[in-house]
Amino acid sequence: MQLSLRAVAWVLSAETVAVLISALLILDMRAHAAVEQADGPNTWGFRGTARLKAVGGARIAVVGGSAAYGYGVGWSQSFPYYLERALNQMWRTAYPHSYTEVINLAAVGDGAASYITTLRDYAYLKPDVVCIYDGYAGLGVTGAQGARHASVVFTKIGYLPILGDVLARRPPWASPERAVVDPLLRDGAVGEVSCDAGSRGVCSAIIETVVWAIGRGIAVAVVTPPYVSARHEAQQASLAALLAARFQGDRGVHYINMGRQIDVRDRAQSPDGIHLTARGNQTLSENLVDAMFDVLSSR
Amino acid sequence: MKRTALTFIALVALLGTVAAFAPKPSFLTDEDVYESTARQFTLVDCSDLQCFRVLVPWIVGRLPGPQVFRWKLFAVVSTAGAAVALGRFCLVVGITPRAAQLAIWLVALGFGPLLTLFNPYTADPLMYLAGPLVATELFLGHRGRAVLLATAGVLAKEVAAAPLWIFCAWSVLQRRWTKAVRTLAAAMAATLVWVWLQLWLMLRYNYSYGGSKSADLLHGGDLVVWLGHMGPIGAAIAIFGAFGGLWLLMPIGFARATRDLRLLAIAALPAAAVLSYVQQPDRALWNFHYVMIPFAVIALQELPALWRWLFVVCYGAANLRVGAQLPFLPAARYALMTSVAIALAAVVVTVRRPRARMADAAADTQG
Repeated sequence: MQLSLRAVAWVLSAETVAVLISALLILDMRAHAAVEQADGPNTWGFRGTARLKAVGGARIAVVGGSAAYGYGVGWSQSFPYYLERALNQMWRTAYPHSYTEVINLAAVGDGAASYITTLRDYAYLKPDVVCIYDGYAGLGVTGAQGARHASVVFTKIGYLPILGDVLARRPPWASPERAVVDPLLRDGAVGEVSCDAGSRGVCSAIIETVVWAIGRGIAVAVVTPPYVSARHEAQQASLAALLAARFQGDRGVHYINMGRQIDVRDRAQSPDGIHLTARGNQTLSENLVDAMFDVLSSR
Repeated sequence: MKRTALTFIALVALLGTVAAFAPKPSFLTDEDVYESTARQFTLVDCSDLQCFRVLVPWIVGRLPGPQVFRWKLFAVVSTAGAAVALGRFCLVVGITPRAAQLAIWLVALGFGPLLTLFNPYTADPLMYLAGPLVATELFLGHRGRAVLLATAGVLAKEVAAAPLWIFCAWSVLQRRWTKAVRTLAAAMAATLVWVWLQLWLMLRYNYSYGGSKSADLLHGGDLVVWLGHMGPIGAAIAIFGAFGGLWLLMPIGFARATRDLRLLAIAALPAAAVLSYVQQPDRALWNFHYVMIPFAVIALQELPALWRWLFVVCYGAANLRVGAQLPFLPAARYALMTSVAIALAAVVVTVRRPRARMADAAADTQG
């Protein structure tokens, strides 16, 4: 049996479409390869080397916004990278004698509203610990679905296409409009900032995230990042009190305060008073590592 | 048919004996990747080019028996099949039965196939078989069967699609446009299956090529690494050693072949060049044995029976040493030099013989 020429023409047309789709996909993967070691995400939409299978003893997933993502610095200068390095330094007394991975699931613009969605999206990575490094964006500027869900492809299959953004030179992970501080936290803002008032939504979202994680047997560390204002400090104190009241005695929930570990007014630590430099991220990780060992040992 | 079956059995017996005596490679092979793929079906986060070549471990992994036995059995049966398939291809393209018989043994005792008896953890034996099988089906006009075979083959290695592209280019050279378009559709189908296999494994299981130079097409592929390692003289020696005396016979056979067969060889050049670029050429070229060896046997058949079979024996002896790495055989250079001398004699005899059309020669031997 031989296909008619008309049928062959149809086959060739379909193949041409398939070739074009393949070419676009390959170019997109090349774009990921080009940016993932710099400031962009890997093919799965998170930051750092893509590994689906855990390579060591434990896996920590960091969720957060631009501060956790490492806005403005390369992958190897972001705080999750330094934290992984610090956690695996064998000279440390608390070193657990197995490799601990830190996966950076944060996204620029994401806030507390989207953490559960993010953790659901990446449930296949099977984290042992969730580190909520809550940034400064409040509930976030990307909504409850988070930045990645702007892509239909990501929502459907978990692959994050970036070719269009890279070619247009407007990647969302480098967008200054997304890397912002919640107006409520700024000095001079009006209104009560505690979890009972202005920050009710943020605090509730964080509590829900904690409940979601411990309900799945995942330990949680809620980390307060360096303070950017007195109002931020007040908000975090309120959150700490809420966590203590809600999860008292729960060994799987930890609160770690890094608010005073870095002075964001020091330009060597933070160029914009919000996000940290490589040195700032390294210092933060060094100061965080012992507390994270405690979290790991509490599992 | 009976003769083909007997030849196949004889080849399996001979190659099986060689495989049994072939030593274990002293270097790191792809055994781990293939065996892990056989056990686990897919290897999440695999960063090795070999991980993408899934078909052979999936098949060999299902066979009973000890690991080495299974892999060597696969290499032996595939190589014997490749030899028989080339014999059939030779007959289909109009080469004499006498020459086709020679082609069978030249493949079975060739450097590439014997190397896979020494290190069987590779998809190459299946490619040596797929090449002539697909080519034969295409030559007979069975495009559907050819596409099915090639599509299955690309799950083992990308080169399985090469015959389709070669025949597409061949049709263009023959100015058979309709046939060219049909074969183009077939070639694209098989190639797309390969591309989507790569993409599926990358996106579903996070496969990558790691640091493989074969995938680094813009910087010289694996060819640059191989040339850097071997040096120009070493590279030339390795390429010559891959086919030995056949290199001398092929140009003469090419000159004596029919126009169609010559065009087929020309059509194979781009594919051979591409594969030689991404894989070391001495091994890559063996994937195109079905468009090289037929030319060699056209010249070799001009010798008296004793001399042409002596050539096969010497050529095989050299390859048993350098390919199968049989340690108890004398150094390959003596056998290689003898086979080259016989090949030179064949060249002289063929050149001095009045030029006859290949079809006439075929009729002579059949008659």
